[in-house]
Amino acid sequence: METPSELGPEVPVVELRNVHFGFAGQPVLRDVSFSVPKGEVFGVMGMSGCGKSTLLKLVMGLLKPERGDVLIKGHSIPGLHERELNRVRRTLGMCFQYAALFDSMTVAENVAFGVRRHTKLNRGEIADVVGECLDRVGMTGSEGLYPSELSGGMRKRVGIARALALQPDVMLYDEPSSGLDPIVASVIDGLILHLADDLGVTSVVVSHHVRNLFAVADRVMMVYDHRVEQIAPPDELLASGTEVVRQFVNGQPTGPILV
Amino acid sequence: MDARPGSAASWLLRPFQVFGEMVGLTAEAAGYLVRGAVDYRQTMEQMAQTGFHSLPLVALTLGFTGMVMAFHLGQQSAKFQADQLIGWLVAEAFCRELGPVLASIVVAARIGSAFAAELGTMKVTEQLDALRALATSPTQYLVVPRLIACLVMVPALAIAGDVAGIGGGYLYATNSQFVTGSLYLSSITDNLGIDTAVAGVAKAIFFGLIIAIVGCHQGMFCRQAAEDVGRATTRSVVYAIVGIFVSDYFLSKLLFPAGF
Repeated sequence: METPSELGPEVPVVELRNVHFGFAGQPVLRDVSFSVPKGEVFGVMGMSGCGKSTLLKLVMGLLKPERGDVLIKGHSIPGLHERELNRVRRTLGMCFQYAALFDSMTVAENVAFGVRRHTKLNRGEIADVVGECLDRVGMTGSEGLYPSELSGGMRKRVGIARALALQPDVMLYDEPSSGLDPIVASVIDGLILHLADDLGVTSVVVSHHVRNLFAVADRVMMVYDHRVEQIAPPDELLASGTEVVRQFVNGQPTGPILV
Repeated sequence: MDARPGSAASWLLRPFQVFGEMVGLTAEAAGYLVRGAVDYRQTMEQMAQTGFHSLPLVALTLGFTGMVMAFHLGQQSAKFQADQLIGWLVAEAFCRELGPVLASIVVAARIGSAFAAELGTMKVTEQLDALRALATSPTQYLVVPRLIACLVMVPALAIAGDVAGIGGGYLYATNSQFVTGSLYLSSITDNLGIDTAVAGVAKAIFFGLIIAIVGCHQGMFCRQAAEDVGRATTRSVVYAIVGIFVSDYFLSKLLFPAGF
């Protein structure tokens, strides 16, 4: 598979085309389309349960759309066999909402997991990669700790370090700032921006924290009633004439969105 | 037919769906085994957990079962002056049935339930998705090592159980002065065929397959809710034990034909 630098500028790194998805007969996403060019930080916002996390799982190939297509660097992934899909997944990094660290492994073993399985690096080189990734997320010195010994913010940072270890072209963040205090949330935002600006990593960030999302995203997609309501840069969304977007962005309890 | 979740049709079709999922999981795991895609570190850990750590419990339970067998056989055989056959009768019962079946039940309760609980917790906490996201198949990384561990260690434990049971019987029979030690042992060596022991071990290999696949399936396919992990753990033990008893009947008919 081509690296993003080998792709033409017109080929999006991540693209969804008319995707429909549901659970047990209930629609979760309807006719969702968007594309993310190389290096962009693309935000997705919407009410809890509107299908934001499902969207990331569709991009990662953990779920298959009922209709429509998911493309990574121009390659359709829903029809791929497990082995081909794994080749695509090695170029993607995913940070789960609750970090999803392997609780029987130490922090170092978690971060080293992908490198150990998919590269031929020796033990010393793997330790260097682990140290570098933990340093990048400000978790140096935590190598020997178990996930149960970490706070929520620390787990998220280790989750990001684990995803970074295989040097992905695309990072997918599921609610990176939820459950964190504002300072740690800002640290994570800074990290997302650093990876995008300095390393050219394309990012899809799912969140319902408008302030944090607007601080990092180049463009943001609002999902409402299982559909795409609007896709625009943050400043345009702030001035949006759409009632749904205005209510959500301003956190108003009354309006077309019923709580 | 309406097969939506919660409908009568889906309830009726559920056992076939579960069986199909288990066959699919077995086939996927077999595919990795054939290709040699085995995580040896995980496999060694699972073998130690399944075999070495289950050994004391298997030896204890089957040792006492051997004593009980010798007690009953000693009482009954005295009526027919057949005391000299106690050793052989105990050994025959263990090698044919008690060794493989009881050792497998111990493993199903101790290890099959642990497989379901561990994999179920990993599913609820999205660790299975995290494995997939790191381009690693949960079947290859989690199921294959557990399958190998059960295929190797359940027969090994059945053999250990046979030895413990025969040993327990020996201790009781000789201490109760039903028979002498040499008579107990010679009745075994004179009458027990090696093919009987081999057939018992063959059954245990199949029981190992049932324990591993049922336990892993229940964990990997449970709903993403904490309460379902508990249910999956219980189901793994119940389904595995029922599977062991049902397959034991058919395997016994197959492996011990008339005149064996």
